[in-house]
Amino acid sequence: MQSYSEDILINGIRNRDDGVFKYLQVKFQDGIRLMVLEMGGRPEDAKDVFNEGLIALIRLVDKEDFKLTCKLGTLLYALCNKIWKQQIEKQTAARNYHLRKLDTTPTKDFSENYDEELFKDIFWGCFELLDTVCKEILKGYLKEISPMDIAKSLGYSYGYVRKKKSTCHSYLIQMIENNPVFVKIQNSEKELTPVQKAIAVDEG
Amino acid sequence: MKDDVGNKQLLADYLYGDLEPGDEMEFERMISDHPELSESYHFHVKVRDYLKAKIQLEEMRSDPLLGEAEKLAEHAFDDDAEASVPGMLRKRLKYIPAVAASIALLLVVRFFIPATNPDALFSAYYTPLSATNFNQRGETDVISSEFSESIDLFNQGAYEQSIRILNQLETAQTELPEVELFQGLNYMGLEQYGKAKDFLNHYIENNTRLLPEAYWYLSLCFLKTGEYAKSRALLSRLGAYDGMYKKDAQVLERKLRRIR
Repeated sequence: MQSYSEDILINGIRNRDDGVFKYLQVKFQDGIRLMVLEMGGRPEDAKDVFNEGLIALIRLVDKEDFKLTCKLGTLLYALCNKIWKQQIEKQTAARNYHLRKLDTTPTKDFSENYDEELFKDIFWGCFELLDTVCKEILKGYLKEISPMDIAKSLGYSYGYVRKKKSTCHSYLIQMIENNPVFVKIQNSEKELTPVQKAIAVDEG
Repeated sequence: MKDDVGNKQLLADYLYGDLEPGDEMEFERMISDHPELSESYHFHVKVRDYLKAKIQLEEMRSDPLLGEAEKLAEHAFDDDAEASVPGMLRKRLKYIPAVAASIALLLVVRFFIPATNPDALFSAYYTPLSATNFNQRGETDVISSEFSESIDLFNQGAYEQSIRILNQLETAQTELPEVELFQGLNYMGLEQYGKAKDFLNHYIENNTRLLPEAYWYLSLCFLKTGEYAKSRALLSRLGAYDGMYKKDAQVLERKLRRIR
């Protein structure tokens, strides 16, 4: 992915450069979505919060006295975090006012959500257990830094980084697949007969 | 197919964008030919995507200048009274075409919506196409302006009025293939999925532009009418290629596998 300096990004926002907005989307949307989900929101909420965060960022950058004194990504995070907290406050106030809230959202399968939460904890927990070199290499790739730049910053050869990335990724997957909680959830999924699955679908 | 070690290496290279285009295509063929490899691939994607998001988030959360960012963020809400009027926000967006176009591209990636029932899945995944771009071509002839008007109506949810104009354009045998696409999308808006399928199918058979959009909405029509195999087939095709529907298509296809 093409990389932009903060100055270019700010100018791009001011000039409504489509490429810059796409870059912000690719670079930060997943993180913001996860923040909203971790704070009890739904994917739909996350989309709205990110859009509103972008609008707030435009308003801020358009101000004549605006000066960026932190990373742009952190600013976008702060904006989205504030927007989501405001929404939670509004929702709480509305709930307090209306004693009974009418929820029209689709029925959710809470056991599956619970499993997903466990999965996420396992993914991150296993990633944290990797050795430093593996973590740095995979982090670099996940941040879409070129293998050449990762190699330079870590003092390895390009070929080593590419090969090591595959080894580290395979090791990570192996750790996840051998995690006792993960194995337990997978086994319980397999034990569900097709009939039970069909019932679960109907009940959903 | 290569041995297990070779496949793992290939999979990791593919996941992290380290394969040459020719090798990428070969690997994609392998995925579509080997269901076990395909299942394994989707799991690897899930792990990678989660870690990517988590790393993004942790980096922002642990930034020593977060306090500074929060102070700056306060200024964005100085004129909150103005911003809280939805109409004004919409107006503002209307005059920022690049932003509107970008936001139109933003995806709802519904990782964690469970496979409950087909209707719930449809409700969770169906959002009318954001067609802002279609009105920004600067064309001035009558046909283009009528087409533009129909798209405006579509964007406003006035599906029947939009269809009326599109029908006239179709009768006039215009050279605008998107007429059919939007007829299909309008009928989806009206919940007339049979007609929507006919238009979208015909559009796909005769056009090469905007196919991902057509595939996505046709797959949702099939989901709604209970034709899950057809829906999954389209989603698999969408999920195999990079594009704005890739993630949603992969996740929805996986959820549909659980519906018998």
